[in-house]
Amino acid sequence: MMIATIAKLTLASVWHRRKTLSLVVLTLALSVSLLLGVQYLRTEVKKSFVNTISGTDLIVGARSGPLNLLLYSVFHIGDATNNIRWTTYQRIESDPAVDWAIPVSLGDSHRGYRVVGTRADFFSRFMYGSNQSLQVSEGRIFSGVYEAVVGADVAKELGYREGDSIILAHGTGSVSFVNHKDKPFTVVGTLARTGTPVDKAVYVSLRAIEAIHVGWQSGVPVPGRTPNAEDTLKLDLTPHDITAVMVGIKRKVMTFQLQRKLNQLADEPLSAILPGVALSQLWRIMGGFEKTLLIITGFVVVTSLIGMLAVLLTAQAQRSREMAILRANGATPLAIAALFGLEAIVISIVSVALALGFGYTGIAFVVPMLEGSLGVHLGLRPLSVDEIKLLAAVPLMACVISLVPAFGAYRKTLAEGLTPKE
Amino acid sequence: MKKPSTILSLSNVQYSWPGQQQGLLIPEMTLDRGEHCFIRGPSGSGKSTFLSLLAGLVTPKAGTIELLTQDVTKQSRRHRDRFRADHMGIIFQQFNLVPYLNAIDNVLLPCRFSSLRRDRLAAPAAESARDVLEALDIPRTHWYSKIGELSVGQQQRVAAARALLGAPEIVLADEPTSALDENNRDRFLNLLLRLAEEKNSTVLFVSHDQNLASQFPRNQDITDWMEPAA
Repeated sequence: MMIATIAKLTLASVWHRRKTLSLVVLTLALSVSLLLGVQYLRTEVKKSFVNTISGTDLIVGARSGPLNLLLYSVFHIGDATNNIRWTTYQRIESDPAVDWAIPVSLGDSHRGYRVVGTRADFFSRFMYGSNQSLQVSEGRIFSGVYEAVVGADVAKELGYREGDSIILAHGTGSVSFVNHKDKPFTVVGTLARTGTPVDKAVYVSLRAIEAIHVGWQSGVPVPGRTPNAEDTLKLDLTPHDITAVMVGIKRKVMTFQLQRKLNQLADEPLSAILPGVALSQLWRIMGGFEKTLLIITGFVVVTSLIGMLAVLLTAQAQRSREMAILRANGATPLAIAALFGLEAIVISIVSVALALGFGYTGIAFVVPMLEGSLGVHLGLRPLSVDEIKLLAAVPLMACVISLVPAFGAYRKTLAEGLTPKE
Repeated sequence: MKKPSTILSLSNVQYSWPGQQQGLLIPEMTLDRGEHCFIRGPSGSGKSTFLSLLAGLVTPKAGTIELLTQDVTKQSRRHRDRFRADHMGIIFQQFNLVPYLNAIDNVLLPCRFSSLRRDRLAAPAAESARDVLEALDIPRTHWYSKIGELSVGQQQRVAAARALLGAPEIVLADEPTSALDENNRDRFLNLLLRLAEEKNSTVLFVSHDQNLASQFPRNQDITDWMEPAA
């Protein structure tokens, strides 16, 4: 009965002062939704990042650090230190532990986008996110030598459609002085958006990479030794070397064993990395920033709570008449303290509820924007346990903070009795 | 052994304001049930303090204050809070009402905090509240409207209705008519005393307005208790 009375009085009182309190609620709701948003995007971006590549058990490249190998083979950032001989690739592919091995050849570009030379089965083996395969959104996968498949961003930014002719440039800079204009390619397909670096790449066959470099030496064509496009097709276009190999393993328990074996290969110095592990390492390097952001947002919430406290304490001075009336009508000092404490809790709960609304609406708007601009794949999902804890922490903190006005009201009630001092 | 009808009995009550020489000294005062008492005094003479003593909000330096044969000076603060909620109705000079509750909810307030007063109601709480508002001439149209829409006279009558709901033995009224004009004042006083009679409550009415004294069977001048004598 008493609790019901106090709850009823609190709600009536909060409603009576809704104009003033709505600003407090708004401030708190905005800061909580900011906190929620930062936490949500933080985990989503991390998830998207760590799932840039999945389904591949090992990435093999010339001997270098795992991050370097990961950066150039998956993110197309930086360049390989060295190539792998084709014979070495053949050894890897024929290893009994290996299910599949897809060669990747890098080093060329098209208007700033990397060109990836690979085999047609790359498109069925390469996976991202939670084991999602690449999809061709328009056209088909390359089959001829001078055919190219472009990623979603390349198609969108450069406006490519099936049948367009493109010229590849030598080297990976966005401005290249040497290009392969004697051997133009035809766009035969576009890949569906993945939110991974795949969207920003042009895919051709390994033979195509070989074909455009026939007669080249030290990165430049040797005059008189480069046959034309037609004649090149008559040559043996088996690659001499490639940049990296994506490896799928038959039984996952063999992964570490194979990794060790490849790392210790006597014929050629190689590095074999587990993409998941390397991605987590890379995230850890960049992760400091997002933690800092979360902490700053936490402080914003604390600031809002202190703002709420200030408003409640100011209101307390104005409500001393009300306290005297309630006390004269039988409310104990404890009941009046509860009234003030409950108010802080009601405000925080309303704020958190609003923040959930704001947060989800905001995320629903922001997600497509981020996908477009950052190329990260984000999804709407229910709140994680961590986020629920974070949200629950707000009313809990408000409970603690509410002790301040509650105690103040208690003392004021005792001191002033029935005659409020204005 | 006191008569069971004795409702209030003070003896040798001493009180002095913190940090001051001045104070109150009440050698003896008893009040029987239904013996409404008018306490006259100029402002600043300690009328509010006297009521606070009775209400158990301040404790005297010495002496006993017995209400309904219980010595409130010996009770714990919690006990006094409980006692006040159960047995006292209080009316202030003005601004008696909780601004965010309507007239009905304001009247019901003491019955929400005191189960004893709730149990004393003859009818369900809301009905009793309407009856007492009716008895105090509050128009029906104002029962559920905001307090701000009521005139000062109506507000004071709502406060009286509240003080009397659940038939508390004692009603303390601290200058309840000082903000009212003559008509409203007389109307308020008549209704208050008539309803108090009905509920068997005893009214202690503090005012500086000597004109009201004739309405009360008992009169007391607070300056008699001032110390040092003025």
